[in-house]
Amino acid sequence: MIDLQGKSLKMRRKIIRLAYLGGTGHIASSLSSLDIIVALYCSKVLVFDAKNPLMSARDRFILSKGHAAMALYNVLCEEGFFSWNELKTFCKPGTIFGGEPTHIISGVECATGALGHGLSFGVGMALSAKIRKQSHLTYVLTGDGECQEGSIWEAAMSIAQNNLNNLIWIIDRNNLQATGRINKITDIDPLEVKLKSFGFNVVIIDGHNYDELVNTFNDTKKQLEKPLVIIANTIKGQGISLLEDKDDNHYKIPNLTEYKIIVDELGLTWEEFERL
Amino acid sequence: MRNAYENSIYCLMNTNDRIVLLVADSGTGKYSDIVQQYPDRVIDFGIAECNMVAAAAGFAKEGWIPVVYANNSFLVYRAYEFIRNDVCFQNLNVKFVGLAAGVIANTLGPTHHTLEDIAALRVLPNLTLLSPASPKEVSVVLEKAIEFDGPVYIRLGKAFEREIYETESPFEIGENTIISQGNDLTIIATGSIITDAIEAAKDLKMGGITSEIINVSTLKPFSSKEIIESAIKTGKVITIEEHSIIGGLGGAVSEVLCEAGISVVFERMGFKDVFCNDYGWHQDLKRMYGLSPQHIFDTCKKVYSKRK
Repeated sequence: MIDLQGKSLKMRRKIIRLAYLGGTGHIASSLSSLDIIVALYCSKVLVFDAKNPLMSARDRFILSKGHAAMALYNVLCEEGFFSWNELKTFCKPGTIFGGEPTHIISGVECATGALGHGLSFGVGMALSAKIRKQSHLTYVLTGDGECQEGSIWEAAMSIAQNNLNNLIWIIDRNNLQATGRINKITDIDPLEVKLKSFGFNVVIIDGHNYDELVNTFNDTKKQLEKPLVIIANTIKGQGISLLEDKDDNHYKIPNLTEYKIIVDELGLTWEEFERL
Repeated sequence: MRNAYENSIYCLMNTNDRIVLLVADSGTGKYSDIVQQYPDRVIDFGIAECNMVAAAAGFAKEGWIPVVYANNSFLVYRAYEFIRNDVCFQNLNVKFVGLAAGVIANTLGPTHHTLEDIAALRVLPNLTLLSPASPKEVSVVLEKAIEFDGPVYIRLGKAFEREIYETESPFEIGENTIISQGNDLTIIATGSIITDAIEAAKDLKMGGITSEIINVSTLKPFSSKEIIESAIKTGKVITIEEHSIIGGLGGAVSEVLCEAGISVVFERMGFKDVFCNDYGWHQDLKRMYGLSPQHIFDTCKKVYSKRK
């Protein structure tokens, strides 16, 4: 049994380390998505080979909410796509690891960051697999705020129209967007009803509960009747009290005092943190 | 041009099974034959250009050669960010075929005209920008675009374009074609409006003025060789395009001439920073905006009579 909780804690620490070293990064968004990405990669739901990242039989994973890059980077690093020393160049001049992921990074299928692109990119990949009768799956993780983009619903229509039951759309449902609460800005609810009316099966899970995440993801490996959306309820900033579910956490970079509180909460001494 | 494109893509899909055709409710004419022949390789995304362009990038990532076909105005303006981020930035092998460049949308008006696409697309790194002048050139342009590895945009007209080549177009990506040799004026044109320039040049010749006509069917990468040589020879240059005079062919030629340090009498013909907010057929609209063969003739005479 793989200790996903343990891996998750290790990667939370590393996300904070990257933000500290780079002086930037979307910490809260990365913490929101981390468990979803850990469950996909580290429990071996996804078929992949870090040494052969473009292997044709791989499952495709697209992080459409590219600002959660630090979560994806850490998972890819943990799975051997690149080293921690390489990743520690995050956001410094000369690095390939920017605030939003690009296709030149091993294991990253496509450049994202501008919202509302990744789901459509996945539509092309999933259609390709259908035409070629390939059995791999395409997983796309979008944000919930991202669902305000019109192109998301264009993609949703084409997923249903082409019965892309080989594309799994996961929505990181943390109820927050960059400048506040989604339902106070432009609400996307009733999200489940909307998705069902577009022709999806909808499963709602706790996006930080590994039993639910892994079981739900394993079920996607069975032949699905209809296209599936997994709404993963999450907490933006999960695991760090200073950030959890705060309206203003999107761009939040802690000051030194706050970093020390966070590092302590994550069970490290400052010396241990400095040695990461 | 649309017929030439449809016939060409039909043939190319037969010889190259990596081609998928993506449309946005934009298939007409021979389209039903193409669907019947290649049902798995034609996808109609409906009126949703952004999704179609990003999906094309996904197809290209999987090794396909997606040909994305839609009206220029909806494709370029609506889906610009998708063309930029998903295709050009990631240098993916997508071919855009934009229908109805310039004002050939005739009576449909300004929302359907495309007079800013060259300017909008010329700035995008990795994108090759092609603009065929005649139906025969369309088929060669499409064939070369498919052979080429990388993003390409083809600026297509629509219907009733006149032919300028007797046999096949000598088109190669990145090269201009000299349509006629001359010593007095250099006329540089892109797209089907070159036929109006050829007509004007015939009348000029009767008056003893010979024009060197250069067909620029690759707007990017922009080839400067023939343009510089001809400009040095004639000292008088006119650019003609069914596009805004800002940021298009005229802009590209002036950049080239300035950087080469060549001083010429110079005139850019095109839409002078206006929307085409009138109705009529193609030739009517061009006449209303100062782009008829007569206007070209008059401008050439004016440029010819100016001292360098």
